[in-house]
Amino acid sequence: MGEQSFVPSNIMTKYDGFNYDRDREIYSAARVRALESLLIEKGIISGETVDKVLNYFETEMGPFNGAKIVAKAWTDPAFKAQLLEDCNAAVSNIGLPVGMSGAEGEHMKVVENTAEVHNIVICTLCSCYPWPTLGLPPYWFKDPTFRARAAREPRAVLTEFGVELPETTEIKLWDSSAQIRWFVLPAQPEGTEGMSEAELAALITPEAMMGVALVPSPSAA
Amino acid sequence: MQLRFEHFAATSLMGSEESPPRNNGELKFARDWEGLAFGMALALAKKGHYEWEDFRQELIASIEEWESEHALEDESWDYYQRWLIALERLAVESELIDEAELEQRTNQIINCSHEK
Repeated sequence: MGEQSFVPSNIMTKYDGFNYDRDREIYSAARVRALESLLIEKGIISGETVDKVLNYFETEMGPFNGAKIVAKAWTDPAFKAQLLEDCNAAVSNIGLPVGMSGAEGEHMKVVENTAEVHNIVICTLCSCYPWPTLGLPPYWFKDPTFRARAAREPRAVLTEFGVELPETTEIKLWDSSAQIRWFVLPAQPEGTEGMSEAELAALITPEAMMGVALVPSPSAA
Repeated sequence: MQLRFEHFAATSLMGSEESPPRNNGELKFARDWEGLAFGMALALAKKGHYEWEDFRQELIASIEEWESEHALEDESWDYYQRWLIALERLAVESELIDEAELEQRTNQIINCSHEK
């Protein structure tokens, strides 16, 4: 390890020249560390900067927020109405992070699943996602085949995710972008009436909030 | 600062085998360097070196480049490689670093050199 010396002719565009994934991994990992060390040396970031950002996602921005919001919407009709009307305001009113200015959460919008309409959220161009409510997107959300197929054949993709919908249910696709990051208010499953918000929140997954899963009834869970 | 280099040299260049943080069962970052690239991209925007939308546009371009040259199911797809490309381009364009010093430092790290 460490015997080879890489001197690529230009930055980051010669990956096809690497024959082995291992070489590419070594190169990528070193490249990222090199970038960080240079930025630290120049005083642009500190040694703690990245950890602070990552920690924020561990503790402040994650699907635990979205689950709380959904559970509250299921139990509080006034909150639900506000959520559907002005998501960012509703989220900040219950003390949850609104989102970093200009980044993924500045304008969030919620769409509600009903018996008539099932919503799916994707980002066809990259990976736009409502970070404050759902945290970071899973790898498959960013996958080129998922992004293309969900746009072209959402019903088939849903089936592959194990979601079978009646033919009469309309499927609506929402493409997140710089302007709006969508997430789904899933339908409340049967058998959950009378459950507390905390109990409900425990049932709600990020997949359900993206529209590629249904929230299971507790007996099925 | 030196601690990071030493820690890095001590662990494998292949990325950490330690289990990364999980979120609802889903890995947040499969490799250490992904989190680092992610954190840097955000931090630099937050500090005003570029708009987040600029980064998003670079990312879109980087993804589009890959997609135009590969079948979508091609297994070489690697989201954070695209992210890293976008980050580097923007860092250079924002005049935070230049290509030459990035390459030089990269080689130093690969060769486990501790010189600056």
